[in-house]
Amino acid sequence: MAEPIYTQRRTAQYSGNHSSTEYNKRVEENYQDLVYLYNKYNVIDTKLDQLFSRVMTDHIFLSNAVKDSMDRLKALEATEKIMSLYSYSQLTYNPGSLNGSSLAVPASEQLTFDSIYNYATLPVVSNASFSVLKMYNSVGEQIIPSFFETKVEPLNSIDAPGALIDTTAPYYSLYDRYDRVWKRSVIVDNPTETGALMYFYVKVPSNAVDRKVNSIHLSPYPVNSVDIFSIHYTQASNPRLTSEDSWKPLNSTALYNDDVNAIGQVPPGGWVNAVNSDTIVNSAPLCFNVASLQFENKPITAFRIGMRQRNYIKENNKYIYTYGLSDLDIKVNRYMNTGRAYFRFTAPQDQLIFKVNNVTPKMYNVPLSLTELAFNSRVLYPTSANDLSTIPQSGSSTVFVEITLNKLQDDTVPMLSDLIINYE
Amino acid sequence: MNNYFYSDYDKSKNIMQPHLQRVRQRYRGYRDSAKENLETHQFILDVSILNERITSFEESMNEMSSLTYHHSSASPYFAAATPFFNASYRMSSKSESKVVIEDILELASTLNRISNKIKLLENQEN
Repeated sequence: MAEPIYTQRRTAQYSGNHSSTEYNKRVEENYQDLVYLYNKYNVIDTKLDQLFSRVMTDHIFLSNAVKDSMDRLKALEATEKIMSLYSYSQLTYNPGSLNGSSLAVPASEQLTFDSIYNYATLPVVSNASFSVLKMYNSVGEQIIPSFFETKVEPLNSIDAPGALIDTTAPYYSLYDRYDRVWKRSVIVDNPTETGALMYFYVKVPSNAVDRKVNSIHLSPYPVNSVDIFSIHYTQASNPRLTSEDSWKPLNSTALYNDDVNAIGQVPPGGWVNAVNSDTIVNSAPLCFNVASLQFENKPITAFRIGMRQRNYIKENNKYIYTYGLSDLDIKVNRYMNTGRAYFRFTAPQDQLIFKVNNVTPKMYNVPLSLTELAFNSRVLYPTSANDLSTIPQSGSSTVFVEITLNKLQDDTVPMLSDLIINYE
Repeated sequence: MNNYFYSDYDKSKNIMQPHLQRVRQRYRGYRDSAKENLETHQFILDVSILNERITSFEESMNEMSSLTYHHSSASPYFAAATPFFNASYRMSSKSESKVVIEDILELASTLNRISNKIKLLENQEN
């Protein structure tokens, strides 16, 4: 609570202040207030500086710990004679030359990659791609469009009508700002095992419907703590954002049904008769391509995301379940039909790669039966003449895998989330 | 208000005096407008400094907080972008050393990648 200031209110009358004592007292009070404010500022400045130093330092070393875990995982994979993608710094568009010709990939054919949503995909035609939710004014400031329409539907006894809710506006999830997240905190007296559940509905703006959105991005908040149990879409012409809108799962063809490795990679809520649940537990940022769903000229008009928070924070003997989104975007992306890139694989220390036996792509939005249409690869081995060859050499510490991605006939844009090589 | 700034060594290090000088006025004879004007100017100077400091304080707070949350980077990077996004930042105005910071979302994503790989290895062993 702010403390009262020194300067007292005075009401001078009759041509101003006639008492020097009063005048001097007022100056003294002003002075004390200034001293207080200056020093309060300095104290806060120091505290903040120290706090941020600590946060930043811890953050850096936590990042290092994560990197260390990745290195250890890399070592574990090496014992199995496999390697995969550990960081997108492995990606390059120009690995060198082959038989005198440059292998550089022209800009229009370079695969797009995203280190937040964890995938490489076809080259995006950036000047023909746009967001239907994120808008900016003429000076580049972000604005929230008036047509942005969402709805939250509580689903269980915790997050239910009448529950004590502390929330920010759902449109906060659109902001490209760290200090704006949509968070919905449900405050209860007793915890439950099921946690808090809700459906979050977001309408595709009607002025964008004809343009056929094909990509949805979401970052659950807080990171790695919210479960996403379903993602559905509707093609109803005027969705009311209720359960009456005939919702279909985004994974409508039940891709990778019951494959535990696909959990977190396919949109949840689409598997049928599966032993395993496709719920994404403690979800990371998610991105799904929905181009293939827009058949028969029936565009997607709204999405429904099922969210669950099982984790609570105890505060003042109350249990607080917080969930929401720190980022949400629906896009109309234009992709080239094909694209290429190279991934660099470096052998573990004191080891050499003599031959790559197998290259396995992980593309969970492409059926296994169509993998060969969507994906091609060839391995390039460095030669003693500083060249690259498709013929295995006498061992090298690095090899390059050239990959080519192709759009499928139904407009599916392959999203490569990992690349695994078996080597000897 | 409590005079708490002086009671703590860490806090007393931060003591700073305002520009305002307390000139005792005596209203016997003519009133010295020069002194009164000087006082007003000094007061304005102090308030302006405080205003600027608080403004810059807010800016630096935004900058520092945004370090770990580059939400604008939640869009895909195109071909021309630097692989594996990193931000360089000078931790404090007193220090010229630069540190590289990973966005929280990237960190979450990396953790997710690790978890998927562990899952693959586990399933392979089974």
